[in-house]
Amino acid sequence: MIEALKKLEEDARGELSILPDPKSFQDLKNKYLGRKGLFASLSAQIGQLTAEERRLAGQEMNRVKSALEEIFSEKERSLAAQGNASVKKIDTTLPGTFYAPGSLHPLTQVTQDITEIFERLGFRTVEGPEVETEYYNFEALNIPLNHPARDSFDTFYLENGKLLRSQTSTVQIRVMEKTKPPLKIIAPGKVFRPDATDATHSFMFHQIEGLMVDEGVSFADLKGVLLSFAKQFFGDKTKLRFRPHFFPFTEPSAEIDIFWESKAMPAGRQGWLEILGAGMVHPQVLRAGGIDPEKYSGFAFGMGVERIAMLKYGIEDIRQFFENDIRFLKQF
Amino acid sequence: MKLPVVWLKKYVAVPAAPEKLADLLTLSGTKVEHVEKKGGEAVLQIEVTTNRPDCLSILGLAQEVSALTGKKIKFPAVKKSISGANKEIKIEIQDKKGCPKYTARLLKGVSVKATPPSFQQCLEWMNTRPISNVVDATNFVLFEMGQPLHAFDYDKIQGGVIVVRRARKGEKFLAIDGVEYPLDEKTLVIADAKKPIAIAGVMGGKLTEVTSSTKNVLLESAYFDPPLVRQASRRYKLSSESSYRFERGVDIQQVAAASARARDLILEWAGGREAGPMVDKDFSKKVKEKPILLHEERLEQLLGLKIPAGRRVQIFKRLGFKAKAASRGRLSVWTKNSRRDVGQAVDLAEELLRIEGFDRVPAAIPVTRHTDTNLQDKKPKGISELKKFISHLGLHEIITYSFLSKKSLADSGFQSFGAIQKITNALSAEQEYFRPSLLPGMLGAVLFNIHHKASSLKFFEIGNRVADGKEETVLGIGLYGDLEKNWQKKSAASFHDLKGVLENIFHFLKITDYGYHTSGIPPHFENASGVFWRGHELGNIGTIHRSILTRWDIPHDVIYAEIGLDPLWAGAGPARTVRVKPIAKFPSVRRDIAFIIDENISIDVLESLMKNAASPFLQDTELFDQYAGKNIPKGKRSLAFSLAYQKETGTFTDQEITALQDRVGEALKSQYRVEFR
Repeated sequence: MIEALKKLEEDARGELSILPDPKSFQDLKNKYLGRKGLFASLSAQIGQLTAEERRLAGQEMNRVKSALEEIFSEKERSLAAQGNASVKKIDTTLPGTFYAPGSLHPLTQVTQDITEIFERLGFRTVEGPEVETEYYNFEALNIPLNHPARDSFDTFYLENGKLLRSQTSTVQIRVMEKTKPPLKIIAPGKVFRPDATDATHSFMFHQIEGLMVDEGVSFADLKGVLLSFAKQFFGDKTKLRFRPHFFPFTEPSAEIDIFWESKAMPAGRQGWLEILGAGMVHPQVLRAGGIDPEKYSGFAFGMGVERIAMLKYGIEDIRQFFENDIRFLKQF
Repeated sequence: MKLPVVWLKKYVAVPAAPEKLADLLTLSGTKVEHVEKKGGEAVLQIEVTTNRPDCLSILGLAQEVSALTGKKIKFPAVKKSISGANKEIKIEIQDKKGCPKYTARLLKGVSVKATPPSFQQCLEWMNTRPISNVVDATNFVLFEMGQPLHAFDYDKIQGGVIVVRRARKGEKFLAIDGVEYPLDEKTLVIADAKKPIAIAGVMGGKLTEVTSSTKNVLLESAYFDPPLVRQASRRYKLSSESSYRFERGVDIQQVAAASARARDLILEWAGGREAGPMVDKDFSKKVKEKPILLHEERLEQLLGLKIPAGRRVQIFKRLGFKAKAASRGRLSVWTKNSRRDVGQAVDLAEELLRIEGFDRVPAAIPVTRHTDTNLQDKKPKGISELKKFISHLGLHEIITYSFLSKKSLADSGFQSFGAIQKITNALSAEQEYFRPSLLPGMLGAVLFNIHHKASSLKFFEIGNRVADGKEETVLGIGLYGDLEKNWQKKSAASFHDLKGVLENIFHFLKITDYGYHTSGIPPHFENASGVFWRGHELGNIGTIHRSILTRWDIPHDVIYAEIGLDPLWAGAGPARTVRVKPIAKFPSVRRDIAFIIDENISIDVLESLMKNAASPFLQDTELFDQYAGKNIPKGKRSLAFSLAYQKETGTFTDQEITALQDRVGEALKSQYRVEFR
């Protein structure tokens, strides 16, 4: 009898420890401690024992009973604590309700991505005014009056005689006037040109200008910096092609094409695509900035933010940037 | 500029495949935009940069090809010209600066008819309509040599005299296109005894045009001042193959040669004879071609590429420059008339590099010497961070046009247009003014989205405006419709939501000492506050006036703030470093206080009153309820604050707290006669 009680206790502990799921807890409890449970039927056999045996078995029965009650109630508490027994259900599939996220304009994102790459290369972000003078927009940049070179930099004029910059190169002069080499700057900003608006032209757009001036800066440095930028921005396999070009403020000047083979692009837009203008700063421009071209050399580059953003995000119409359609903005 | 390959082949050998030629030209700076087939032949479309007028001719491009391939150029043979005086041709140059060189030939007894077909084909490749042998000869030479020419019907020149002068007041000119242009006195014209017969370098006149009945031709070849031609072309909106070349500058030394070449072609195609020598009026300054010295080390240093001495000389010679090795490591290259863009050492460097190939230069990462610390403008970086922060608050950044229409300004409540900068050469009435505020752009963006069924908009823009003659960077924020709308919560955006956004922004910028006021609010708003910081008026926040919304046809409230950002980064700016206050050792005690008070008394006034009354123990006053309406007298409101008392040296007794609370109550009562609840 005593042996049987001990085994009963052991079995109960064993079964309880491998309880398959909380719902079967009550069944298990009934199996051992119910009115017709194993303990009850075992204790019914006590009448068949001698008085001495009955006294010892009685003691053991009391011990086992309280032990069983203890382990079952222990288990019940731990099940309840796990929350599986009686917590109110919520529907976890309902959508979250925290404030909806906002967004940065795609032109800002591209500008930040680009300036951050150049900042890692040691360039410093600066800015210049949008309302400018003839001097900073043209003269100091070696663009003479009544020269066809001005055609590419047609400009809006204000009633106060000033103009709206048609390029961010204006910042070059302003920085050089204040700061002596070595200098490495990057200048993002808005520019304005009286171009008729269509899918690829806008009278207002954004440029990023870069400038490095120091002793011994070479065309090889320009290539290295732009290649490093292009690989970080467009991907490791990016190829660049430098083509000779003409800008009044650099000599030699180059236009830079990127080899574009994105699968997402239509067939006609794959291949070499112009993305940058650059060159070695013209000695005349260094002089205008108060820097001795005999001692220092430098390079400058400029790129259109809209064009790069259009390539990057697959945007077909430049006007989308300025419509501010929330369905467009939310995608960024 | 179009380049028919078969025409080019007359002067220089070219690679077999047109695509190969195109690549060669593109990578040396003469960009081929595309190759097309025209009349069965390949024609390259070339973008010629403004510094290279020499490439606006087939022979000029032949020079480029020759430099790239090393093949020799075969120039067309030109017959000798007779020199001497010509009594029949009378030429008077009144503006010698505007016209430093003018030549004329007289060709008599020509028969004007069609040009031989092979030459007509040449012009068709250039998109120029063949007209007649005489006119076509001038156009052929224009494309071949880059020198524009003009043929006049000599018998229609009044008085048989050519005068180069500025137009007279009130003079009119009937152009070859049949349009009559009133001329201004700046315009350089070719005139006969009576009237202008051409705008110099731009367009010929109808009255002296060569026609089928023309017998005698006066052939003009000249050099006109480029800026004058450019101004005239722009003023009369007349652009021609001639003006395009003159304004970029033709080679003055080719003026006579081009005339001789055209004469040969006219006499060959139209018969006739040259009547006497060519008249050459030359007032140009004789430019002495000077050598430019190129230093080997500096060249290498600038380009990051070593080009051997022999190769350097070869490149310049093939480009038609006179070049000679000078002392050790030096090279002398003489300037030349056809390449006025080459005038200093860097120009020579570019010539070398573009022929050698930009791809020959290795890419190198420059060594960064650290820049001096005087580039201390923290604003660009600060604004970049601020934009990120605001977008993380759940707002969407917009970028609106900086140009506004008069209507959008008037609809936004702007009345005095004198103070707003007008664009003098605006493209349209939509883009006439430079924005004095970001508000019209914001309302435009809101309206655009309402038209596309949006019911909740949270927008911000950071950009420049020009107000009171000053360009400033400002932040505009607009809330429209629901601030939150989901299955749990729905609330319309309110003034206080935007005020909370603003306070978050100030916290992000580590600005604590700002304040609000309600005086001098612009009329765009109803229910608004001014925001100031350290004596700077930063801007305003408020609900846009109903009348403005009505004009824009915006159905619900727009809450808008426009805040100037420049002062925040000017000078030292706010102290960005937080100084930590010690955490109190003893727990604070909270007591509530609720009262009814005149609704005009502002919360911050009450808060400072209470804090003063229980100073220094009252640490925090938190408004937790505001009520007006039922059971509250009109003009009053009920306010409830939770007051937190704090002592650094220990805990309070009940009596101490009650005494402090009484002091607060007394102060409120004596100052505003509040009624406690």
